[in-house]
Amino acid sequence: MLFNSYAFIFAFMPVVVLGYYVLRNFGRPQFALVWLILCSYFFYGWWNPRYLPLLAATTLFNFFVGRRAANLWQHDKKSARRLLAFGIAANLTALFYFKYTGLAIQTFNDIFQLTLSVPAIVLPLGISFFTFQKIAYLADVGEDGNAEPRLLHYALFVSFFPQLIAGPIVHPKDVLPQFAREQTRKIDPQMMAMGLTIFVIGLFKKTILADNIAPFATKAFDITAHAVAVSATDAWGAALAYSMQIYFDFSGYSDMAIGVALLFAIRLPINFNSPYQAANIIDFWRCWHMTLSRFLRDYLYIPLGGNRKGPARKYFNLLLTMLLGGLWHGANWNFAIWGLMHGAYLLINHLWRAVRPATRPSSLAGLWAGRLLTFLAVVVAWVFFRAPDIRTALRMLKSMAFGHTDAETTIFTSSGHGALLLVILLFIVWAVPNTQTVMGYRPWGTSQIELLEAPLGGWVPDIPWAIATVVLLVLGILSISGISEFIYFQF
Amino acid sequence: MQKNRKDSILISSYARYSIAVLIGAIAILSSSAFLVWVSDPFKRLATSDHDKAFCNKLALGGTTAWFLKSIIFREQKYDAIIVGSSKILYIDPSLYKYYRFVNGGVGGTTPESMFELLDAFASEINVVVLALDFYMFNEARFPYATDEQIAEVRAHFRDVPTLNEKSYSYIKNLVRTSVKNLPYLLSLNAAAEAVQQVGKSKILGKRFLMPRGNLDISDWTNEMSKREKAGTRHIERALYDSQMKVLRTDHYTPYVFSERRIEVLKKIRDLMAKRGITLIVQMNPVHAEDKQLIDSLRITADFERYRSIVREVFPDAADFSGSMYADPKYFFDWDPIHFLPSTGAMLVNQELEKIASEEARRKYESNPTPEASSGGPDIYCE
Repeated sequence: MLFNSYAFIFAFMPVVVLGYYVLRNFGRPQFALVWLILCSYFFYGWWNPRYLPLLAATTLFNFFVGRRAANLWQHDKKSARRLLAFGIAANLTALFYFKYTGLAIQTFNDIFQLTLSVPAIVLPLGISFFTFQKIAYLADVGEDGNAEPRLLHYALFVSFFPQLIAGPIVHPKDVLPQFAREQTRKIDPQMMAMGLTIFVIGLFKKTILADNIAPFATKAFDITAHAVAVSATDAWGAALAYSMQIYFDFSGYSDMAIGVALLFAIRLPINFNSPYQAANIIDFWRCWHMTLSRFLRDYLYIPLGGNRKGPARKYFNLLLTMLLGGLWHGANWNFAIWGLMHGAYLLINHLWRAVRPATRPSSLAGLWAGRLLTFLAVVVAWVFFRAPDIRTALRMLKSMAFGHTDAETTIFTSSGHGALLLVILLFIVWAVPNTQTVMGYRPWGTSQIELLEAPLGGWVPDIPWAIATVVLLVLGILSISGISEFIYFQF
Repeated sequence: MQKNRKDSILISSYARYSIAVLIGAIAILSSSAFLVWVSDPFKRLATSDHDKAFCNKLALGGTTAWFLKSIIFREQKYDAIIVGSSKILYIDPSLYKYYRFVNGGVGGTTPESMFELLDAFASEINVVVLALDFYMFNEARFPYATDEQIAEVRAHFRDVPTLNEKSYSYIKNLVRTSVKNLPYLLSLNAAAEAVQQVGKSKILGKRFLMPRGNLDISDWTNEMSKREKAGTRHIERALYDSQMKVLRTDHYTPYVFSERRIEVLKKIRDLMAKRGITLIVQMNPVHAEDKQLIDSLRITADFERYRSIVREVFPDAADFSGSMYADPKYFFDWDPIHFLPSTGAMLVNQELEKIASEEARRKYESNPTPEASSGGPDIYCE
């Protein structure tokens, strides 16, 4: 089920919220958690119920592996770690089977000129996200030997529908304490008002901003995929349009997830922090898909040795982490190239810093030069991310670099709508504060209870806010009709 | 600064804010959906087989029109029926002499739909007037009904709800149609288009079926008189041109003459003969510019074929499609498709003069102004 669908907005969400609070206030709190788990399974099964048993089975498997490892931890840490390593390997095997079998066999065929049949395996929705969460859980058990003792809480941690399908990728420490806290079992009008508003902002980003710029990018990439060169204007326009589309699409989804979670008084971590305002690529990755970056840093880059084993090993770790991060997005070599490009950008940035240790530009011109350079590098990399294959990506990049005198496409020049929309979106990403800044949402999930109980921020609902929210909600809903999936669902 | 900020807080609590937002959004979305539902700017609500078969052009109006027409036939007392297109739909049946008519006109109707209507409702009556148009024989733009569609309509006519059942069925139909078309009803484009349509036309929500089946056009005529007084006749020209466009693109391009509908005409003739009902057949007037359009589109041969076939099947048919009634004075100023109700009544009355029985004449003379078709409950049409 999509957040930007009538079924979700008019039926699922009201029923789930109402049922949750009725059960919490008039029944036993556990009933409310069970209700949320059942609703999350329904949410997941709406797409394809065939994979519900997979979600349930892997949840049980990981819960019991964690519990068993925690028991072993008391007297035999080595065996506990071995068991956890087995658990992580099992999760990765499942992920590999569903996601990479086809790519592996196809690549094998190409290299060795074989004709092995490529099985048509349907990728379970959101498997990359919930597998990472389960891995994070097992890895955390391996740190301190503490496992979640309550199956209900663990099952909800894995399946909690706002973040089940496309993140934000949550650490166990982000949400498990919140499920257990008494405060989450009270209706919090502030959180609900804030959740509603953040959801509306996310819906607007998705249905108005992302979905309206998307056709321009799609058209140019489709033309290029059919071996027809587009003009340089259209090539740049398409690359910029996709850069805007993916940002507003995914950050809109993340906002909606955060907003829906707040309706249940659960704070999810933020995923975006104005990434296109980053003045260098290191900052970009601190602001783009932040929960994935955090996961890759904590569970891949640092275990590989991080920067503790000398500069050469550090750069190798960086490249490998970004390569795998790229492949995490999909079983396609385009994603690997995209990841490697970002690995190379990071490497260059780190080398530059080694030469010029100052991390902040000293002038406004310097800041904007850094921003534009970073943005340019990111836009160029998005071409590989968006194109269906490497040839198309190269063709598009060629059009961007050299133009085509014989190309007569006028996607961005025929009506001016595309160009105008691009200008507006660029203004938003560069000059308008992001959702959490506007809302004063201080979200970062943590096990430190005092932080969770800290006030949400300085956002105050008044009449202008109410009017603005109504307008955004109405526009967002009226623009749903051409329903489109979120880009990150496919990962 | 902080104080000013607090002063501006007119919604004093988070809960009230959330409730205000939800109520505001629901109110606007409901209004928008209602507007789209009523005006149906892109004609997407014509989804049932019923519509496809019998009201090719009228979308939801078609469904509603047939639904309500069948109720009218069930509820009204009548001894004569006139069937045809929107051209006769505007005519108040009380203008017809000698018999108590009900108006069986439905916009965009076709011979097979008229046959089904007569088969279901024309029994134990005296007169049927069959008003034919050239467009009705164009299968390219008005596709022939399939067997499944006809079966659906027959079932509908067999089981017409009573007025008591009407509300329930109507609401059920409304809910089903609305849910099915939610993406359309809640579409920004459709809402914008609907608002534009409302801006262009003041007639929205004013078109009602009267108790004896005719469409109430008093609002249109009032509106047009106002425009005439205000000297805004150019608006009428725009309406006129848009109707010419309808003729060109929706009625005649392309034109494929329907052989099957000739057989339907014969079926109607035989059905009436079998039931002992006097059948008056008329070919409706064609506006001079309409005729010019037919000639310019090079479908004159089809037009002449239509006329000759009708005369062949119904030798007594009254042919008003020739030059005599092509004069624009017989039509609405702003509309080359629809002739004036007075024109329609005059033509039918000419034919009724020829066939009215002595008993009917006696009754009519004793009460020459039978209950006019107005003042009854308004029934929403389209």
